Amino acid sequence: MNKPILLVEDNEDDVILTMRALKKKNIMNEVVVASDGVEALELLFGTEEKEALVPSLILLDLKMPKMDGLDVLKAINENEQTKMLPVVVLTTSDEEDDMVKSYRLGANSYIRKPVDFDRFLEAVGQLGLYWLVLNEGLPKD
Amino acid sequence: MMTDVKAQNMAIGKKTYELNYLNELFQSIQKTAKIGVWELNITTNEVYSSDLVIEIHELPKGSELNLADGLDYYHPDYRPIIEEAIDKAIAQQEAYDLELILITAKGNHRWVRAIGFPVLDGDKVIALRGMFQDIHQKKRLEVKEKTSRETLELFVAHTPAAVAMLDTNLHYLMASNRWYTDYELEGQDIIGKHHYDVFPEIRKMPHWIKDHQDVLKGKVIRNNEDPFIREDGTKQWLKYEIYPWYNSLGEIGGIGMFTEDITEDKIMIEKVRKSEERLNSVFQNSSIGMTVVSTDGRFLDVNPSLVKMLGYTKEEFLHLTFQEVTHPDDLKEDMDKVQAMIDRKIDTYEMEKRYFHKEGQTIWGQLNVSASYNEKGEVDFFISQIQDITLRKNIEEERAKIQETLEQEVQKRTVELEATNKELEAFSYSVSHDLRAPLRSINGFSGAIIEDYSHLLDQEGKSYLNRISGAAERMGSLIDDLLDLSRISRRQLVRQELDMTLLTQEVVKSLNVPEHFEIDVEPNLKLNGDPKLIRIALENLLGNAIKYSGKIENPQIKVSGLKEGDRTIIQIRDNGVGFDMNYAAKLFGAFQRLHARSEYEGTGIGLATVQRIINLHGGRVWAKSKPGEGATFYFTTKSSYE
Repeated sequence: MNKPILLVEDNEDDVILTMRALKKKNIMNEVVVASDGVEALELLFGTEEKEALVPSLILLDLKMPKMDGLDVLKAINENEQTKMLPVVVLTTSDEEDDMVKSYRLGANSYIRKPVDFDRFLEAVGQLGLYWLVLNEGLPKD
Repeated sequence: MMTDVKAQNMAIGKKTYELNYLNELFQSIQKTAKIGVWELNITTNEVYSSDLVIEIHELPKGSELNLADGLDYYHPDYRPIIEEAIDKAIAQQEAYDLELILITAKGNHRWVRAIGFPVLDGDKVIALRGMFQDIHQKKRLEVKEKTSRETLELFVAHTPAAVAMLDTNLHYLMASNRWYTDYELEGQDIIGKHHYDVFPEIRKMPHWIKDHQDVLKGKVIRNNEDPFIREDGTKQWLKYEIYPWYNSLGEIGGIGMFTEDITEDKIMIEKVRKSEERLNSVFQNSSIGMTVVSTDGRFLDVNPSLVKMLGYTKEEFLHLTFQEVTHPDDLKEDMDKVQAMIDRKIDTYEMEKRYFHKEGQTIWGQLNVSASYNEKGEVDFFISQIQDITLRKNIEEERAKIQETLEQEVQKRTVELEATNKELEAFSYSVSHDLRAPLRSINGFSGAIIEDYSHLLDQEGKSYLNRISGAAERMGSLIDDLLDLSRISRRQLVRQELDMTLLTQEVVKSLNVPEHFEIDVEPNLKLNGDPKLIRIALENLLGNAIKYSGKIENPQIKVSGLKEGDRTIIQIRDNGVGFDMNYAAKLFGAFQRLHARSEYEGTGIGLATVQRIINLHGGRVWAKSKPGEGATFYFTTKSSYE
């Protein structure tokens, strides 16, 4: 329970709502927010000043400025260190294409953000339970 | 006495001289006339015969003849005739004149004429006296003449031409067999008959009657074609020559006619003339240009249409060759074909070629060439027909240009359309993503307020917030449906044979149908279509059926197929609220609804989506209903024209 959740999301509203949903579902992990792809990769791969973050779960939005979610996914998948991290793609898009691409790039789950927030809450809760509780997660090293 | 005797002697001498003279005269007359004389003394049966009689019998000179010997010299066939004649002459004093055959002492047969008459003493016959003449020569001539006449008649009869000979009275003497056949006189005996009795119609032809009279005066008349109007009205064309014939005295003996029936020739000539006339009339009046061209290309004749087409006068044409008025780009092909005609490799040719008008403009012509050949089989001259196809060619060119422009335009449009499609895709993506995000915020934060701060709100405030989140949700559905609709249009159709029974059952399962619904799906239902699209169509149609029969007590939905030729019509029948057919036209339009939202939920895009899917398949979708009596939706995935 001590490993953080990395939320890659550029929409501030969605960040608030997601955090609220996680809280509602009693997922008490620290949530680290990256507001775009570049920032997310910096966190994951680390920088000179900062050590690489090893989250228990990455919640990844697809449509973002600078570097979009698919590119982030690709980078995570190509890197040996991050390859095994569970990634759940959260997106507003219901393009079939995006979903196929996401799974092909190693996404573990794909959740469409519904307009109905209750349903979103439900979905986030489900996936939180699964990835954080049922699926023990990866050992730290 | 002496004187008397002397005188008497002198008188006797004179008489003797006279007698001798007379005798000599008589002899020479006999000789000249070849007439012998004889006399038979009946009482003594002595016969006096002149020398000529002896000579005719070819007896030695000075021989004597008695009656019995004389009769023996006659040919046995003629002996009874002469014996009877002599008996009659004596008994009945009748003279005779007979032509008989004598067999001479040397055995030669010889025609003789024997004339005898009685010599009377009172009323008693004392002698027979007569003449005897050699007529052999004359007889032979007669026979010869008769033979040659018969030969002539035979010759005339078999002449392979219509020939006739008339006497001066125009009575027939002779006519060839051909005369009988040409004038249909077979079986008639016309010899001796008058020409105008044989052909009464001539009496109505005064010019012929005059001709006959002229010929009898020595004129010869020839005519190469003269109609002979026959009694029955038919026209017989004759070519003839009529001429006088002369007897041995040099007098006109009558008319000779030589005729030839040329009716058939005449008809043929007339036919040829008419056909030539027609041809010429075609040549002159044809709307197609026509020309006669020599083997080296000179115009020998041109018709008015060609004059009009190319602007040259006929005179100018006759000083031109076709090469001079042919566009250089078409000349080689034309010349090659002309050579092939001359070499007899081809008999005709046609080509579309360009000519130059006198004013310089190009005239497109459809050229058809044939040839006339001489007796050696070489091309004598060409006959060309030239049709002005300039207008057609211009239209074709124009059309080709338009076609080209059109193709370019289509290509340009396709590129534009592809770009637009890409833009649209990008737009749709943005819409689905960006448009939904604020909705999610609206909805999410409304929910958060209700959950976290509802104790600060009264009932009305809560209901407002609920309305806000409801509206946001609907707008989300609208966006989703619109995106679906636009995605369908962009989709490439993948046709395959579908198990509609299975597909329908899967869709029904996914729709979470309330338990009280009775859904009946026909087994083994097959349809040709795109599996994903047909599934979406079924989702919408079944979704509607469920929605609009949800308020009925025993809702029933039946899915079945109907065979029509080689296509299947799928029917989805419900027993729900139905609709008024007056609004059927609005049914398949986007955002069109027949029911209030408060009654039945929906975005009004479902049936528009169905219609788009069916249209993509080239099929048809339609519905039948009555308010309160349920509705049936039908669709096919194949046009009825396939």
